Amino acid sequence: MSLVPMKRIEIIAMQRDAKKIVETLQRQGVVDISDLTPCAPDETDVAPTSPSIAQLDRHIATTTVAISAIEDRAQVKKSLLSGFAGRSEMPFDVFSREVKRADDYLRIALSIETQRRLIDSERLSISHTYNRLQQILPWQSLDIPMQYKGTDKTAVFIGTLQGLWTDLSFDDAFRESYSNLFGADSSDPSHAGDSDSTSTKSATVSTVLADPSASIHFPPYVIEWIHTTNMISCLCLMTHKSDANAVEATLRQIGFIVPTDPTTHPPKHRIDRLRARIKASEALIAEADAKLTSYVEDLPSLYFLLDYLNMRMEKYRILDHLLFTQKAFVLSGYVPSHRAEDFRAKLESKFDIVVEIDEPSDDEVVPAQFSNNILVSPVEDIVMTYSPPTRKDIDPNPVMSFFYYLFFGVMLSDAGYGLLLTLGTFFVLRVKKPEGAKRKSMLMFMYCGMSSVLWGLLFGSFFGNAVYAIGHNFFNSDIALSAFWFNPVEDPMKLLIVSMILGFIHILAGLALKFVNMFRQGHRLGAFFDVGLWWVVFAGFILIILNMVMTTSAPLGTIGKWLAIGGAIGLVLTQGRRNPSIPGKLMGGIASLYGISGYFSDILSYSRLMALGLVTGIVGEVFNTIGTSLGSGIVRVFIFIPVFLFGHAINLGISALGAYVHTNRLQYVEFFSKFYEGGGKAYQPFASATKHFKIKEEI
Amino acid sequence: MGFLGIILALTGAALSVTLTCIGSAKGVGMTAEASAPVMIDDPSKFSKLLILQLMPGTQGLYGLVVTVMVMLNIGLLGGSPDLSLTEGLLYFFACMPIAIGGLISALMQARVTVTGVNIVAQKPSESGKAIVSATLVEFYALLCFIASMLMVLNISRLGL
Repeated sequence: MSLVPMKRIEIIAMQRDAKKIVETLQRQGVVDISDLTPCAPDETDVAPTSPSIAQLDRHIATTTVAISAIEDRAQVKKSLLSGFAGRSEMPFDVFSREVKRADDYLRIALSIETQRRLIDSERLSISHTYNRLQQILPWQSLDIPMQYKGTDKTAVFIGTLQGLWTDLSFDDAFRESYSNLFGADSSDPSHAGDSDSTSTKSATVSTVLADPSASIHFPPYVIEWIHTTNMISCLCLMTHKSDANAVEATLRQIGFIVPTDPTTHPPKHRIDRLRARIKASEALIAEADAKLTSYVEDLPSLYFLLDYLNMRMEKYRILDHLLFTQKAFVLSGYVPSHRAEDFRAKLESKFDIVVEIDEPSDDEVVPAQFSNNILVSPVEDIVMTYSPPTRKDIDPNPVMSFFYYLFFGVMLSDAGYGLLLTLGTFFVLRVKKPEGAKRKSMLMFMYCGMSSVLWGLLFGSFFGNAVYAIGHNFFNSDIALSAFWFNPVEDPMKLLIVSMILGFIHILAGLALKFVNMFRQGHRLGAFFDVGLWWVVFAGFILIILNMVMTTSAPLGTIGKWLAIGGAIGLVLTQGRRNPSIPGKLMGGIASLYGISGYFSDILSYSRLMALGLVTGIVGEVFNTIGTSLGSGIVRVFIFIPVFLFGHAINLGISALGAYVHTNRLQYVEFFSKFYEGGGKAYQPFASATKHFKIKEEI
Repeated sequence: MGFLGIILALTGAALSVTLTCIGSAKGVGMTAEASAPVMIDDPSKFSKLLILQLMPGTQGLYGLVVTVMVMLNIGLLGGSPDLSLTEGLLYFFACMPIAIGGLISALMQARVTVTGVNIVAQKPSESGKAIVSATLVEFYALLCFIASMLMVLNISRLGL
């Protein structure tokens, strides 16, 4: 029930054993290896492990990606609770057998990677090909190559115009541009007469002859619209060779664009080729896909591979931190005292090794680990989150856990919610078997739930006033869950006072821990000055308050007054004792009395117990009222059930969240400020940090 | 005259829930907006972010509770509401602490939770501290709530 004492361990062994020793350390999982600062760079060398680490990193990345790809294919369903699941156990002989096959597994991972890459690149090529196909598709009905320039006598222009065009609109635009360009000098040779349709390609061919009535002779042309849409019109225009330059200039004026990538064969040819290419890619993807699907059954092997690679990674990180000489290496760290001797014996029996076990010196930051029973240990992580303890701190967990569950219960204060919380966490614990921190938090909420059940019964709250609401509205009975103590909704002042009394006890407990800690460290007088005198002051105040609320003949008020004054004088005299000068001592002492306001606001802070407790109860009642006030007869039941479920689910969620955060705050701010300093570091033994399998060590 | 009393009391009750809910909606919204990019990066941080997102949401709940207590006390939920002008005015003022304090504390708390989102993004192990920082602000909403609550509950004892 306390902080686990730690020993400092130093290992000196032969370099050839380095890997094996590190592996043993990893499997034992008891040594917290501190980083070594090289003592003298010329004497020692750091092992050249960096290339291995880089390679392992690559393999881990490959395996991680491979696993997620296969999980997608296997449609592994990740439920909300799956995050809580513990690792499955793997006996050591299975582990050793699997290790021998790790290379095969790696090959699988690499092959998955290859297939995945193949799929990606083929997908990319499909989309690329598809884009090209879209560009060429409008030209499908053109039966000459797009690069076709014409015959001996004719010139052919193939290209596009923006927007929708018809024969008429084109002819108008053509004539207008032509007259603009060449209207001034009608020197251009007229071939109006001998325009003969050499091409009789299709029925849509339109022959537009130059207007004989105009003074300008327009060059004759034949146009065929290959494809027209609102966006773009693809055309093929033929004219006499001698008019080629003039026609080209005119076309450009209208906005004619030559395709960037014209075909050397009729476009149909290229379309077929692109379609075939897409088909081939799709076939490749399907093949790779099938291959990937066939790897689904290798998923456990991949999980193993990832764990194994991570273990090796850890190992190399440690090897990287070792100090090597020509023949030997040094490693140091911390071991829990009770395992130190056993551990030394194990190492010495296996290797040529020197193991030295020392008490850590006072100025060292020794990694901290708590050791508590199953009732107390769940809150350990709450303390670690605040700050891991140093060796100067006392373990706050035994006292804190009691108040933690207590306060959570007062704030959630509903037997129904408490029951749900208890059963829910119990279910997760039994079915998912979470480990480590997750298990601890589940246990913690289970105890918190039990405490809520207790307080819910004391306050007569079960899903708000559900018993009364249902009984009254559906069964015409006046049954109600009566409070074992009192109903806070009816008497909130009482709850406020109870909250503050609980808070006061909490603060006194904090001070008691400070007293114990100071006493333990030998500051006996200090313990009395810093804590005992405050207790005297508090005792005085309590007597004064008692005198006010009770009618008694005993002179409680007077005793209380003098106690408080005496305590205060004691504080003034002692609290400045660390200051060097007499006036400094006195000023420090007087200033310490200001602490009274601190205690006062601390106690007020516990009014949140009452506020959150009331909120849970009243919001629960509100939902019950809404649920029972709509409709009548059987309809009312059908309205009530969803309102009840939805309303209480929300209320449970928000109230439990509020209870959790505010309980934490009361511990961190009001409780810890009295005695706990923290600032240490948590004990993190070098072990197999695996994700999927827990390797059972043979002992 | 009885009407005027009820009108005043209900105005107070309505303001209590409306203002606090505005504050909470804004606060929760701000935090949720800030969390979205963090969740894109690492969806596993959802639960930690959810706690931060919900924290400015409690003020609305306090406001609702005070509203319901007012309605219960003036007999609006089952009973015959009969209120003097003075009583109505007293209920109106009793609602003000949580209405105003809840609104502003939710907005202030949201600023803390938004920065808390940064903590979760960069150092998830320290998220407990972000949450505790936010409860420091929340406490003042709680004080307002307690004040409003005690006032509402004790007005009828005055026998005005």
